[in-house]
Amino acid sequence: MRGLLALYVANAREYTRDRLALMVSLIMPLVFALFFGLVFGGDDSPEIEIGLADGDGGAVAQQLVAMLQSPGLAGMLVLQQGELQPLLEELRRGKIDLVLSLPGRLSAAVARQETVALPVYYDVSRQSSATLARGFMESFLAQANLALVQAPVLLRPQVQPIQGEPFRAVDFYVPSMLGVAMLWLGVFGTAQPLVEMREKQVLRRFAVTPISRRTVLLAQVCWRVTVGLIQTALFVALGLLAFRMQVAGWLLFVGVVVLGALTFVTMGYFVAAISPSMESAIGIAQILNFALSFLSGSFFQPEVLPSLLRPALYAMPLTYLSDALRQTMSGFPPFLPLGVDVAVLAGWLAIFAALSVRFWRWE
Amino acid sequence: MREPAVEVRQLRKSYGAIRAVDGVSFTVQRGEVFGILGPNGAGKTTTIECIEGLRQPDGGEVLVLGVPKGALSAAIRQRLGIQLQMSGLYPRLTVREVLSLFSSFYERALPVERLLSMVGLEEVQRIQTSKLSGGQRQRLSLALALLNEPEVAFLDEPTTGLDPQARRALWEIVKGLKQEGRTVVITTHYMEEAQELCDRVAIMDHGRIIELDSPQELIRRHFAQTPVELSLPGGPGLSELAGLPAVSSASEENGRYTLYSQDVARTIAALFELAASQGVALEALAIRQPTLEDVFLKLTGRRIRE
Repeated sequence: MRGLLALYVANAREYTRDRLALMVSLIMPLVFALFFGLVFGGDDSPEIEIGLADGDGGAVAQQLVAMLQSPGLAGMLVLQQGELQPLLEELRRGKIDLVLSLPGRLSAAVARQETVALPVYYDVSRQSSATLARGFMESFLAQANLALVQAPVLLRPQVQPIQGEPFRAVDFYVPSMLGVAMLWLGVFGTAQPLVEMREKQVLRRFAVTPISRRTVLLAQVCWRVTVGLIQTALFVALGLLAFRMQVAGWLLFVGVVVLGALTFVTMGYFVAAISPSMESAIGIAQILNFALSFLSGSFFQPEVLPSLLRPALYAMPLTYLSDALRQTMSGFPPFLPLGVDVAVLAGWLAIFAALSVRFWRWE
Repeated sequence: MREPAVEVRQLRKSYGAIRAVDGVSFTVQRGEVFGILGPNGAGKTTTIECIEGLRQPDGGEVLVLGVPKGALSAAIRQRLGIQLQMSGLYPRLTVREVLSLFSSFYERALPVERLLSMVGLEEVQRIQTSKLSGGQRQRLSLALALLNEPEVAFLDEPTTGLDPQARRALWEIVKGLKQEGRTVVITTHYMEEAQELCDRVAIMDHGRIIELDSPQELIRRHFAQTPVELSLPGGPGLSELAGLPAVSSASEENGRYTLYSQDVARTIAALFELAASQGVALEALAIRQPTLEDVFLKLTGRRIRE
């Protein structure tokens, strides 16, 4: 027990004193999560921003403004009033989605029951937001028209909000990148240092002391799971502070983290076991890193992968870890049931452990 | 009588076609300093690592403290101290931390301070091991072998890479171990080291033990003669020198002659006569005590460090 603790501390010192490797392994995945969260996370609020240039100021104009500002439209519409030219400039720069201009003779013409053309400006280069804004504006003006002629209301929509997928990009990327971090912990944080230790014959020195090999291994695995937990704490801090995320289920989440860290650290032992040299360890690590991160649905949603690559997706252990982390950390909709994820991960853990024991070499 | 510290019977180990150890047998008694002497590649390290349990022998039997495969059990390892010729340490741990780490593996261990002063590493105790010099690493490696006050210490070429002063210091440590009644098995390719430290020496060459006895006995057995060394620029050649009275054999190396004489007085007198008659000067004449180096040279026809 004393030996185990001393070895654990020695592993911790050895790991944390390699500042460069420490920074790269702990910080890089965070940078990835931050990057993807910000790039794809953008502010995709459903609000339509409308610029209103009121050249009239009469009763009809006031009535239209009042309708646009009605509480029923709050949360769906942002109204910005101003002069036409500055508003058009904002439209060109993409700050607002549509500009409605009320000509000077509006109120007078309406009073005379004349048809007035209201210029509606939108940016054709921004298809989706422009279509949305135009659709809104057309139905709004039709409604306003009916109100102005005081027609009876025969059809009135009754809004029934249903919670769809209120998920943001960060809800996908932060847990997925935590999965990638676990992969890196395995291939770069475990396999490579182990091969280095074997080449430098560090492990050999322990072999002639009374400490058992099991204890040496146990201390290494314990420390690396600790690194996984530290990594997780950093991710949770990033999610909570920078992206105002909420952890869906703490207990399950931590359980999945420990299982994932164990699986990939054990994979690291397997890679170290089958690598005859440092060069081959680096090569295998790179291949695994590439295959697992891109074919596991961690950088994009697994559903978008073409069916040809589906078998590869299902073969990657990271697929299940990332999916399980998304479900338990951000509550992202499951790709597979959580139970399936956990079972497959546990299976991989057993496979890697058996292969490591089979092929492990101390020197 | 207690069981011997180490018993080796017909030990064999091959690497492919190379027979690294080819039927080696010896017994190390308790309290003995036992040397395994030989050139690089003679099989010394393979032999000692088979005893330590680091290598699996192809054949033969090894008993450590009376127990077959004893060096593999944790209980026996508590009583052994092992210095490896090749081994690494956590590169980013300090000397002090490495000593504490290994101390934690043993039921009892010397205080770190004591170990540091024993091997003279006090000044670098807070330096990371990757920044140590070769000699400092070697001394740290020795401290790791001795930290549990072992009953049997295995030291594999402990003085390789040490400066003369550090080598002397190591010799004092080994002598101290002997005084405390501990057993030491030491490999070396330094003849003077084996001669200085060992109660008995096994001389190995090509995976076999070619001689095994105390250094004094080996020298006495092989050298009733005394080596006389000299240079004789422009003088007579090897064959003429070998024909001098009482000279049983002679050798030459870089213009320097070694004559093995059964009667030094007669040989030297004849030597002066020869030099005077040919009008050449004898240079750097020396009468040496025979050493294990001479024994090795005689047994194998080679110098040990070739």
